[in-house]
Amino acid sequence: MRKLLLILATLATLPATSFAQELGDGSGSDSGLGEEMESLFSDQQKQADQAEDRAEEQQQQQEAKPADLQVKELSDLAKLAPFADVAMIQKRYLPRTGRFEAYIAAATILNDAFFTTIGGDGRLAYYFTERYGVELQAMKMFSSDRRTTKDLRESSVATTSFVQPTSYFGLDFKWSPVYGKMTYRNRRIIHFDMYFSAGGGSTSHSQGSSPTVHVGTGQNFALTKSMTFRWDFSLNMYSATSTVGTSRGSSSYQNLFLGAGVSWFFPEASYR
Amino acid sequence: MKSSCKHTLLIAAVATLLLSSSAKASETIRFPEEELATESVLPVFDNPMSVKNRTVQTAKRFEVGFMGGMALNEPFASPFSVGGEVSYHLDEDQAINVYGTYFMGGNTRYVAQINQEVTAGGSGMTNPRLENAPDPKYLALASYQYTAFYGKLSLTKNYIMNLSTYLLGGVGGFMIGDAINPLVGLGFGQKFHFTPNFALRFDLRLLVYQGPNVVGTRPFPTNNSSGEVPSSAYDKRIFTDSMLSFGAVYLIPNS
Repeated sequence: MRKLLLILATLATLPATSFAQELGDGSGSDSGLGEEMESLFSDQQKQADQAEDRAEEQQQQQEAKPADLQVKELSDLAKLAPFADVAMIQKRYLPRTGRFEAYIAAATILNDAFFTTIGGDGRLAYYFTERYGVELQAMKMFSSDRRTTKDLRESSVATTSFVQPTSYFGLDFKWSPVYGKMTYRNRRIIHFDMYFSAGGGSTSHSQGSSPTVHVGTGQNFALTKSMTFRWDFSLNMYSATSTVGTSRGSSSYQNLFLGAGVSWFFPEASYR
Repeated sequence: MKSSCKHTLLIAAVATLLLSSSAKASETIRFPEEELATESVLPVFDNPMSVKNRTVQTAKRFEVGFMGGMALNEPFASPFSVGGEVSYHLDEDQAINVYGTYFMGGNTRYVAQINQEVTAGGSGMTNPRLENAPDPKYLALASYQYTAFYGKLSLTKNYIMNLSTYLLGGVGGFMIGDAINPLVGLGFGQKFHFTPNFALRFDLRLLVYQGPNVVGTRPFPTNNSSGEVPSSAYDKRIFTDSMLSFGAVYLIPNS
């Protein structure tokens, strides 16, 4: 009795289509084969319809512009069309956002014909984003006469009338649009970024002090995730008046600085 | 009943003893030091290659370029120059570079000032007429170039380009006035490759050369005519000067 009930329950759970395929509508075995073929054909039609729907869906996804595809979650990556949109997830080796950079360096003036000038350069930057930040700069310079200047002094030329910078203080806006990596002798990868800065400050020199326009560029090469080797090219432009000797008059001066030193980034960044 | 109770107690005692001894043994178990891992082992590759497929391939290729230059420490003559460079890349790292430049001529603002100060100085010296002193004419330098760094950069995440950083060292000649003087140049530079064949090039060199000492020679060799005073009229001394050059270069594709 239990077995009979079990068989009946099993039969009741089978779908009606199974019966239609195997038994037709119960009208006889001659028309059963045709009905079975029709039902099989209808299944193939359904599968074809589903495949067509999928193809249309894919086509719609491919036709959608990349700008329309907003990937906000990981599951959204599945919506990207294969080979049409490339999702690149790459962490930045040395992030800047919300961090400070302290830089100390030795610097020299490249374009001074009369003095050999070297100095110390100290800077403190804060980055609002990866690209933008502000930087305070303080530079102290020490000069010695070049041979030409010594010869001129021996010729009774008042060389003190030459403008000789002694220090600079300023504030810059920094823009870091370039980020990259390079290989050292094809053996080691070094991450770096390149920045441009512009701002102003005050230059103290042998004839007084002058407001100064400052522009610069440089590169940071990552040694660790918090320390970089950095070189910097800076151009300071100011106007100064010679007050000693017979050459009196205001002239424009440009000091081209080349500096090289080390930067520390803090606080420690959180990495993925 | 008594015997079964004894057996039970005996089994319990043995079990307790075994458990306690095994627990004690687990606390004091020691492995021989030679069986313990003492250090982590990382794979070491003999010849690691950071870049396998270079976008900019330079080996066995010629490079030509148009360069502008500036002698940064020139006190009396105009520092600006125009010229060019030709390089042959022996491989991806090494190249022979020939750089030549022609100086535009002219004087800096210091010439008139110093002429005036010398004559007004009360030392009895005559006007040095620095405008007639020999000035730089042209410069040629053959250098060995070693490209230590090669990489790529992203410009605002919209544009990707390659760059290379290299060292330069070479010898050449520097024509000042009517004489050619020996020259040694050391420096470094960078190339920003916009395409595999086209790049912007920036070089900074320290030049060491022997030349006429136009303000240190006593008395000043003067020439009352408008012509240039010969270099041989001046004492010689060693000069150091910085030379900044920049321009566009083209890597000639191999046929």
